[in-house]
This record gives sequence, structure tokens and C-alpha cells, in this order.
Amino acid sequence: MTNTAGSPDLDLTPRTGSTARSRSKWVPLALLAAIAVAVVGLIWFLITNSQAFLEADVAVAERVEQGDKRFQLLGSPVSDADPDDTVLIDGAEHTPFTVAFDDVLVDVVSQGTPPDLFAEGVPVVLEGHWVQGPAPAGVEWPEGANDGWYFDADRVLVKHDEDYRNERIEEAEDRGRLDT
Amino acid sequence: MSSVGAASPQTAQAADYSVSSRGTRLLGVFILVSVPVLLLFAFVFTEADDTMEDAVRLLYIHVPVAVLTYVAFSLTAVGSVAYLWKRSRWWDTVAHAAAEVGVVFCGLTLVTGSIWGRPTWNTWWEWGDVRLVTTLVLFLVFVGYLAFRSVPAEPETRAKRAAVIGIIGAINIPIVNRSVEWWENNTLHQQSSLTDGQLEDLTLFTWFLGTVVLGAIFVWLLITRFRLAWLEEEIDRHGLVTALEERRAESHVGVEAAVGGSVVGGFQDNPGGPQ
Repeated sequence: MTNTAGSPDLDLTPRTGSTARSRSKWVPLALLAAIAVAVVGLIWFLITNSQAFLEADVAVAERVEQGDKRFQLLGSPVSDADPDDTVLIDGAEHTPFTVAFDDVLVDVVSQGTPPDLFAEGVPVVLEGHWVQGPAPAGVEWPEGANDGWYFDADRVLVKHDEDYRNERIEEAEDRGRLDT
Repeated sequence: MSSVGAASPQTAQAADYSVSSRGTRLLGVFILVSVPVLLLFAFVFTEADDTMEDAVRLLYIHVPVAVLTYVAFSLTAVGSVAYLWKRSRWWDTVAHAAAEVGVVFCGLTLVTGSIWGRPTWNTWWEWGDVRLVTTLVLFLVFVGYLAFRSVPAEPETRAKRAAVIGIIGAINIPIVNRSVEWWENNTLHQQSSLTDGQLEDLTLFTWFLGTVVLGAIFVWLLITRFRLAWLEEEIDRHGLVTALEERRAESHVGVEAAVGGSVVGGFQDNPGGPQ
């Protein structure tokens, strides 16, 4: 069969099978919906759950109101952790140390051993709550506040600063270890 | 000669559909040479940090990919604004290509940041951390942008709506960038080491080298993705014409084969056919 130009008519019957190119709109739409839910959920979670770290001096000032409420405390260790200081409390390993912020000291009993980067003068974020009372058996804070309160921490995070200069450690020592 | 005649249009077509150019090939050679140099500086010439030890070497990758993420999504925003203003397909393609490359770089930022976080902060991820979560939101919004672009629609309608998403998504860029200062006590992430001169000597140079090398990779990916996206749209726009030409060519072949004609090299025995 030919057309008026003498060339054969085209077979314009739609093709079927694997050669047909089809793009489903449902997969990207489902992905879009999932992403929208995730984004809204993340922002909502951030707004409602994100807690500002309480600096040690503020935390001390507010500790009566805080009670045994869980929060994140920011301070700098006044000395490196000594592995020999680890004590067993209720069968679990704990490490005592003291942190400071603006010259205010907080005594801490932390579950487990501190992370590798735990060091004098490097700020840490401690998750836990206040405890009022005598230190647990075997716990001592030689350079601590020893004021009848301690912070019971079950998580230690390190807040590394932006200084990568070689001299920063010497400078930090010169400033005095209570500065943060 | 049918073979010569058959090869010519194919060669011309291949040249038209190429995503490379002399410039991108030269850039590719530069990247191949400079990546080993960067690795040498990052792992051999620079020393481990006194406190962070070898984890500090991630600085040479993590910071450049984070900066290039901002560049990519900002480019998407610029392309989106320009598209809405000029209605130019070129700007829409720039926005699309930049978003794809940006998603790759943003993903790398999240992964390298997480790898950095474990030895440095003592955690892979913190859901309450403002810098981390806003970066994840940035990543997800632009993954959504790309998902939206893959929904079948009229090209102009899709480009217009994608431009709006691109602009809205880019609002998060300054929030991510400034979050470490605006909410200093809601993030473990450090503030900028670059603006306060807290990097020096070989560490600073290696960071700069990393930025140049990853910047070159970024530009190469951006140009290549732009050309590919442009060609994809060309194919989409001319899809019907191409399909008709293909079917016409098949009809000729079928008819001539049926009458015992010799058909060599497709169109060549049919000068009146499509070229």
C-alpha cells in the first residue's frame, strides 16, 4: 500500500511490549510524599526536642530548679581522665572527673570510660542529671567542687573547637585550665 | 560506497550527542593528575593533629564538599530565578544539573561529617543537633526537587514548579551555614576555622588544594550533567519526530526486502528517505 508520494504508508499502530517507553509518575510522587513527611518531621523534632547545652555555671545556678531532670551540660575537664580512677558502681564501670565553665566547677560521675578525645581544656557535653548527696563509694574529686552535688552522666560527647593551629595547646595551658 | 555513506551521518550524530568537549577533556586530565597529589598532601606530607590524630585529614575533603554543596544549591536558586524571569530553557537546565551535583556533594558532606563525628565527638549522629539536621533537611529537599523533576509533566509547567522548589530549598543554605553561630549551644559542630585564621601552614594549603581539586571535579560534573540534561530534553522534545522517522525507515526496509531489493546501510539505498 502506497500513499500519493509513492512511498509506503506508515504503520502507526501503537506498539506494545518492552519497546514501549513508559514513565510512571507514582514512584517519584511517592518519594516526594515520603520526603515531605520526613522534612516536616525532622523540623518538628528539632524545634520541640533540641535542647541547648547548659553551661556549667548556669547549670549550677539552676540546679535546685532542675531537680533530677535530664539535660546536657557543657564544660571543660580540669584534668585528663586517669584510667586508674575508674570505680565500680552497682557493678558497672564509672569514671569521676570535674568540669568547669567560667571558673565554676561541677563534679561528675560518668558511666563507662571517657572518649578518646577527652582531655583537659577540650569542651565536653555531658548527658545526665543532678544528684544531691555524698559521692558514691570510692569516688573522689581531688580538684573538684565537693559541694554536696554531682552530675550523674551516662553519655559524654566532645565539642571540638575550630582551632587547628599547632600552638593552640600551649596557648590553652597559658590561659589557665579553667578557661573555656 | 554505502559503508562510507552510512558512517558519515552516524559520526555526525555521535558528535552532536557528545557530552564532552576539549575543555572538559583537559579538565578531566587535570583531575586525574591532581587527585593523587591531593592524596599525597592529605596522607603523607601533612601531619596528624595533636588531639584529633588522623581524623583531621577528613578536613581536606569534608570542608570543600560542604562549600561546594552551598555553591551547587545556590546555583540552582540562581538558575531558578533566572528561569522564572527569562523563561529560558538554558537556565532551567543549569538549575537541574546543579541540583543533581549538589545532592551528590551534600550526601558526601553528610557521610564524611558522620565519619568525622564518631572519633571526634564520640557519636555518628545527633538528632537534636541543629547543624546536622538542617543539613539533612537541605539534602532531602533537593532530593525532593529531583524527584519532582522526574514526574511526567509538560516541560514548561515542570520547570516553573521546580524553580519555585529550588528557590524555597535554597533559603535553608544560610540557615545551615550560620547555624553554628546562631545556635552555638545546640550543636557539637565547630565554628568556621577559615574566617578566623585557625588553619595555617601546610594544613591550610592542603585544604586549599582540596578545594581546587574537588572544585574541578564539581565543574566537570556540572558541565557534563548540563550537557546530558540538555540532550535528554532534546530527545524528549523531538521524540515524536524521531519515532516517525524510525518507523518510516523501517517501512522502507520492509517493503524493499519484500520485493527482493538490496538494502545496505539503512537509508543509503533509498536516497529519498530521511537523512
